[in-house]
Parts: sequence; structure tokens; C-alpha cells
Amino acid sequence: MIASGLLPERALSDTLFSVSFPATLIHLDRDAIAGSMGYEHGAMPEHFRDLLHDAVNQALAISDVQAGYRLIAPAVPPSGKGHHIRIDSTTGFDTGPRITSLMKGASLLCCFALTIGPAIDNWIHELSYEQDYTGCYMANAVASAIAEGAVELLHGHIRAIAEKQSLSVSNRYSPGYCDWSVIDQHKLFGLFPKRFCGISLTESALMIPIKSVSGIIAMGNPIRFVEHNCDSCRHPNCSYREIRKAQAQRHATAV
Amino acid sequence: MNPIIDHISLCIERGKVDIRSPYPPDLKGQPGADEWARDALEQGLSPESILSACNTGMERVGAKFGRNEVFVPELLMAAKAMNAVMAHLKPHFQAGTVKEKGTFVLGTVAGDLHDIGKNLVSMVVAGNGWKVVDLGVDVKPSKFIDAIRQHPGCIVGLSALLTTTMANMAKTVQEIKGQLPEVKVLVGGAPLNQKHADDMGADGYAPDPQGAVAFLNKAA
Repeated sequence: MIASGLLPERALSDTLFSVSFPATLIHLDRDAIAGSMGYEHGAMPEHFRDLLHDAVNQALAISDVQAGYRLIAPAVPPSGKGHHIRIDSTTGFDTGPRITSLMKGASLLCCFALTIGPAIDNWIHELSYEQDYTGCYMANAVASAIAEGAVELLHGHIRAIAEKQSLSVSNRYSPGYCDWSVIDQHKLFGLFPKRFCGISLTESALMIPIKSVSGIIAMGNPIRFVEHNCDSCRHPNCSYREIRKAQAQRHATAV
Repeated sequence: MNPIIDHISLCIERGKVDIRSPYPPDLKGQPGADEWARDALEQGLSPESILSACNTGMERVGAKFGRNEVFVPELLMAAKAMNAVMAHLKPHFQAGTVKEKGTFVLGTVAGDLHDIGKNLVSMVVAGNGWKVVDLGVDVKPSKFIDAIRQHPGCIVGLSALLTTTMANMAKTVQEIKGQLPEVKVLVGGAPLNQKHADDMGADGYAPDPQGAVAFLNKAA
């Protein structure tokens, strides 16, 4: 299997690839980061804007983006029914009904992992240790934005690979979202070599370095990317809805 | 009321830590919570009145936070200013001349290494006159239970950010309640809601630091 997307990559085997790129490629929207803290556009006080600016520069300087993915051709394309996706003869993900349905007919499944490196974690820990909690909060928000920006680039890379084969890609889904138990993180990392991209898992499926992302992207002709995917979900017990609800309330009140 | 008390409350509300602090810009170059607290003690004002000024300042900024007029960074600056005052009051707490409202044993549950939310709760609760025993992150149930035994009458706060560690949180609540049923347990963390707290058997759920303070003050 030959993969070649937008970013420099290295084939580790026929199906396994590593991707590395400088963090400076990542588009960071400072207003969006401020927005994630609750501030309306341009409303963040100057003092915090300066701290955010410094945090962005520092974070970009020490980020070390390491990513990789495995392309898997399922023996039988997912039916989209049930709660489960079979990856190969030994591995299956309990992705829940929503993600399972969106994988229907996938001819390739791309399982990926990405980290922005341990230096970011160390920096955040140092700020916390020094009791610079405002700096720590800023650093954490910036690091999350970098990780999200990096995985967005990786998604674009995967899309480019798919398009070369006249395939479409799905949204990316991670263990812990949309009914996909986060404990499946262990199964996902079972598809990769040990410490793939420098990431290890704790017993509770926490990725170390913390600012890491993993997940799955479906590739195929019946596959489609869904805009505002979260908005169409009506899962009654979604933990992440609490976060989204709190953010929405903050914005609504601020408006 | 002595104007120094008002200054302390204002410095905490606005997050003015000390005279060197450039924040907030309109108070640049002016004394901060650190200097006003020192002056207050030198002028013979009681530690209780200074602590009360802290509470007033934190309540004001907490109310602004609740109205979305300020956000976490302002709250953290307020907590930092409050900590500057607390450093002056520490000898009085140790001598017993001023008493905390109670003890709050706090930690992020086993398997979870996230601490920003926990630290924020810790600072705001301390600023409201509580002694906080922060056990850190990745805290096993046995460590919570040991700390509870070391601090009789304490209230316990559990934090978690992951869905997997929410399961550990539930286990921790059960172990605490199994061994020490009289201990009140408060839970919080971004993915939680009141239903999760109820299902775990926790006594309370706090969506934010102010919620934690409200629970504690009611329980005290």
C-alpha cells in the first residue's frame, strides 16, 4: 500500500506510516483560543492577550509533532449496523451505533495517533509547580489548540491520500467520544508498534504525553464528511455535551 | 469600615497581587493585596477582618464569573492575590488566633493526571476561608481515606476529566462512603453533571469553583 499525502512521511511497513512536520505549519487562531476561555472576539484583556501571545510563541517553539497511521483494508466493508467495527481477524472496536453507522462501506480505515511531544507537558507541569496558574492555564489552552491544529493537518494529509485513490474521508473519531469507550484506546494502540510516535498509555487509557490525539478516519466512496457532526448527535448521556453546553452558555450570556 | 479592608477586597476582586504586578493596568504601580495585608496587620486590624475582606473579594469576582463578566484567567489572578494575603495570615492560622471554616481534602482521582481545574477549585476554596489539603493527581481511594482520617470532619472533593477516570471516581466515592459514610463527598470535572454525581452516590456536584464554595459553606 502506498500512501502519499501533503506532509512528509515515511513508510514503516506496507500499511504503517509516520508523519513529522514543524509546528509552525499549524494555523493558530489566537481569538479562537481566547474564545475557548470564554472571551468574545477582541474582548480578552490586554494583560492576558500578552500572556497568550507569549504562550503561543513558547508552545510553538517547543512542540515536536510526531504522527503516524495505519491503513487497514477490512476483509468485509463495515455494514454500518450494530455497535461494532471489525478491524481485522483479532481486533474490533466498540464504537457505538453512531460512529459505526458513519463507517458504513469504508474500503479503508485509517487508525492514527499524534502527539505534540513531551516538552509541552513538562512546560505545563513546571508552570503548575511554580504556582503560575494563569500561565499554566494559558499554556494548556494553547497546547490543546496546537494538538487540534496538528491533527487537522494530519486529517488533510489523509484526505489527500484518499483523494488520490478517488476516495472520500469521514470525520475523525476518537475513543471516548460518541459512545466509543475510551478504554478502546488500548485496542487502537495495539495496532501500532510499542510507543508509536513516542506515545504510551496509562491503565486508564490516558495518553502520555497528554497533548496527544488518536482516532479513526474512514475512507471510501460511500463515506462522507459531516459538517457540525456534534450538533446532530442527541446522545442523552454525552459527557462532552456538558463542556459544549457550558461554552455555549458563556457565549450566549456574553453576547 | 477601615479603608484598608476595602483595599484588600478590591485588590482580590481585581487580581492585584502586589505593587510590582502590572495587572490590572489601571492599578499599575499601586500597592496590591500583599502590601495592604501587611499594612492591615501592622495597624492592628484583626486577622478575621482581613480574612473576611478576602471572602468579600472572592465573592465579588465569583459573582462576576457567574455572570460571565470575567473568565478563568481573572479568577486565577484573584486567587493569586488572595494567596498573597493568606501568606500574611498563615502564622495566625497556625497559632489558632483565626480559624478556617473547615478542611477540604481535594484530589484528582486515580488514573487521571489533570490538575488545572482542581488547582483552581483549591485556590478559590482557600480564598473563602477553608483549609485545603491538596492530595495532587492520580490519587488512589486509600490515599483519600488516609487523608480523611487525618483530618476529622473534613469534606472531600474529587476531580476527574476522563470518562474512564469517572469510573475511578465512582469507585472512590463508594470506598469512602463504605468506610466513612458520614463524610460528605463533592465531585466535579468537565465531563460530569448532577446525574453522574447522583449515580455515584456523591453528596454534591460542583460545575465550577463557586459551586464548590457554595456546597462547602452550606455543608459547614
